[in-house]
Amino acid sequence: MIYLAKQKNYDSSNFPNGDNFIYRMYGFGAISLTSIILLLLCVVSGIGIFFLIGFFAFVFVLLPSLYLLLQPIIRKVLQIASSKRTDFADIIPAVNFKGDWLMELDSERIRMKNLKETFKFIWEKKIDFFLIAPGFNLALFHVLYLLGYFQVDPDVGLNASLRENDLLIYNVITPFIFILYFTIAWVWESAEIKIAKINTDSAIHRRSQQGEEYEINELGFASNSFQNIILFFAGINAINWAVSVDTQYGATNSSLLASFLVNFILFVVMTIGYSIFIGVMYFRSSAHEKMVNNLRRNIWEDYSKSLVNPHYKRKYNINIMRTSIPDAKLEHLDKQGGMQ
Amino acid sequence: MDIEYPNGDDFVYSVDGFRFLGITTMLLLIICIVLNLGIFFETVILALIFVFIPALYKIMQPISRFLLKIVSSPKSDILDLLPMVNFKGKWFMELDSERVQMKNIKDVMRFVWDKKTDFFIIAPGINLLIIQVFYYLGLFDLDPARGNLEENIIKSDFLLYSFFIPFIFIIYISIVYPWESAEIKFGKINTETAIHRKNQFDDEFEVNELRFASSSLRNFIVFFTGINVINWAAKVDQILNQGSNFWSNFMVYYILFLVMSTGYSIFLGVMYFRSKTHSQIVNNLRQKIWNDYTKSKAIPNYKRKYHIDVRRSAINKVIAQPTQNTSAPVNYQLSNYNTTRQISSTRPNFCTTCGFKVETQTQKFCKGCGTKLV
Repeated sequence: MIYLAKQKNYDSSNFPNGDNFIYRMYGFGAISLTSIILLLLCVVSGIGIFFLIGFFAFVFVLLPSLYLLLQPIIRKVLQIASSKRTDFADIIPAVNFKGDWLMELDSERIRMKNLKETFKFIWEKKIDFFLIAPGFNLALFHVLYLLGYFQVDPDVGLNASLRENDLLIYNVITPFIFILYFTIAWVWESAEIKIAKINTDSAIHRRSQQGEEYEINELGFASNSFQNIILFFAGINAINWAVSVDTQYGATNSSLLASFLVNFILFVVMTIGYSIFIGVMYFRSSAHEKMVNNLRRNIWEDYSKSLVNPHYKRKYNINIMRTSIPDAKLEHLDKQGGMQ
Repeated sequence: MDIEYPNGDDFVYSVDGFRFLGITTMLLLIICIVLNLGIFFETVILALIFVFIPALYKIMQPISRFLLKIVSSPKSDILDLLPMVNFKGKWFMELDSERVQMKNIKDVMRFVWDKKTDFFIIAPGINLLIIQVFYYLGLFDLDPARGNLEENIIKSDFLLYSFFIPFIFIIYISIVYPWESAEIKFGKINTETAIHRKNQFDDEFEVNELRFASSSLRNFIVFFTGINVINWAAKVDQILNQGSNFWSNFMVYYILFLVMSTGYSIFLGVMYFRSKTHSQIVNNLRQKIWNDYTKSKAIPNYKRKYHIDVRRSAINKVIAQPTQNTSAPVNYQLSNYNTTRQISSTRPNFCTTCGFKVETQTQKFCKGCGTKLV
C-alpha cells in the first residue's frame, strides 16, 4: 500500500519546493516471485551454503530495522572521514579525502520501470560486486585460515575444503561484512556526499571575485574513495596471499596453479552471486531510502545550526552546495582577446 | 619568454617558477661526471638535451591531440568497464585556466608532490614493464630478479634500459600533463537527475562526478602496469622456487627500482617544466579545442574534431535561512533555500599595466609588476 501511494506522488507537479532534498527509489518489490522461487530451490536442493544465505537475506528483508541499526556506524564513519585529520589518507593512490566535503542540494528519484532498468541499476555497482566482494572474501579467508579456523587450506584440496563445515562459518560472516560495507558505501553515495578537490591557485581567484561560488577541479563521491581504499587493501591482501601460498608449497606440482585458479574462479562466481543477491535484498527491504533520508536530514540539521549559531560545534565537516556546469556563452567569450 | 596577457587572460595557462638552468642542475651534472655514474650521467645528458631543444617535446603534440580525439569520442565508452577508468560522460574544457606561480622552493616541492602518482607508482611500473620486455626479447642476459644485485646494476644492459625509459616517460608526461593543465575534464551525469535539472535551468546540468581526463589515463596505466608487475612477480617466483629468499630479494629490487626510477622521473619531470614548453603546448591545445568549439557553434553542419565543449564548473553555496526549529520536516525547512550567484566587481579584476590578475578587491598593488591599482 505504501508503495502504491508513493508511486502516485511521483508526478513532479505534486512535489513542493523542498522535494529535491528527498531521495526516493522505486522498482524493487519487497517480496517477488523470483525470490520465492529461489528460496524454494534452496530448500529443495538442500544446499547448505545457499540456504543460509537465502535465509539471512529473507530475515533482512522482513526486518528492515536490522539495517537501521547500522545508522550510527554510518554516521560515525562519516564524521571521522570528513574531518580534516584524515587528510593524510590522501597519500594512498586513488584515495581522495582532502578537499571540501559537500552534500549536493538536490537528491534524486530513481525509478525502475522494468527488469532491464533494474539490471542497469545493479550493473552500475559492478565494482562492488565484481571486485570488492571477491577481494573481501579472499581477505577473510586468509584471516580465518591464519587464525586456525580452517583445517584444510583451500588451495590444497578443492573438494575437501568446499565440503568442510568451516565454510559455513565463513558464509555466515561474509554476508554481515558485505552488508556493513554496502550500507556505508551506498548510503553515502545516494545521499550525494561528495568531495571537491580544489586547486588553490585558481580557487583563490574565483572566491574573491564572486563571493558565493568557487571553481572545482575534481569532484568525486565520498564513497568512491572509500571504495578505492577497500579495493586497494583487499587487492594487496589477495596478492600477498597468492604469493605466500605459492612459495609455501613450492612449484613441485604444476597442478598447483590450476588448482588455485579453479578455486579463485569458484570464489569469484560464488561471491559475486551472493553479493548481488544480498544487495538486491537490501534494496528490497526499503531500508535504503530511510537511511539515506535520515543521513541527509542529519547533515542538514548540522549545517543549518552552524548557520544560525556561529559558535556551534559542528559534527560533520560537510556543507550543502549545488554543483553546476553551465555552457560557456559565446558572447562572453568573444570579449576575451587572443581567441578569435 | 613572455606571454602577453590580454583581457582574456583567464584563458591562458602559464607556469612560473622553474628556472631554465638552476644551480642544482649544474651541481648534479658535475657530480655525475666526477663520480662517473653511468646511468645517471646519461639521464642528465638526455634531460639537458631536452631542456636546450624544447622542440623535441613539441613533436609529441600531434600524438597527444590524436589520442584526445580518440578518447573523447563516444566510441571509446567501452573502456569504462575497467575499474577506476571513466571515459563516459560529457567532455568539456574549463573556461578559465590558471596561472601557477611558484615563488620559493617550497612551492616547487609542493607542485612536484602533487604529481606523486606519476613519480612513485607509474615510473617504477613502466620500468618493470620495460625490464620484462627486454628480458623476453633476450636483450638482458641476466634476469634482474635473479642473481646478484651489484652484478645486475653494473651490467651494460642497464644503460640501454636507462636510455629507453626517459623517452617513454617523456611521452607519458607530455600527453598527460598538458591534458591536465589544459583543464580537460568530464562530468559524469546521472541521467535521472539531469533530466530534472535541464527543465529547470536551461543551460546547466548537474554533475555527479567531475574528473580530469588525464586522471583516467593515469589510472589506466597504473592498472596495466600493476597487473603486469603482479604477473611477473608470480612467474619469477615459480621459475626461481627459492622459497623465503625470494621475498627479500624481490623487495630489495623493487625498492631499488622505486628509488632509482622515482629519482630520475622527478628529475626528468622538473627538466620538462624547466624547458618552458609546457605552457606553449597547453595553450596550443586549448586554442585548438576552442577553435573547434566556436566553429561548431557558428557553422551548424561543422564536423567536430574533438567532442569537447567549453564550460565553467562551479559549486554554488546554498544560502539558507534555516528555521530555529530544526525538528521540523525537511521539506519545510528547505522551502527557504535560495541559490545565488553574485557577480559584482567595481573595478577590473586584472592589472591594467601588466594584465596580472588582482586577487582581492582590497588589494592595493599589483603582485605582478608592483604598480598601484586604480
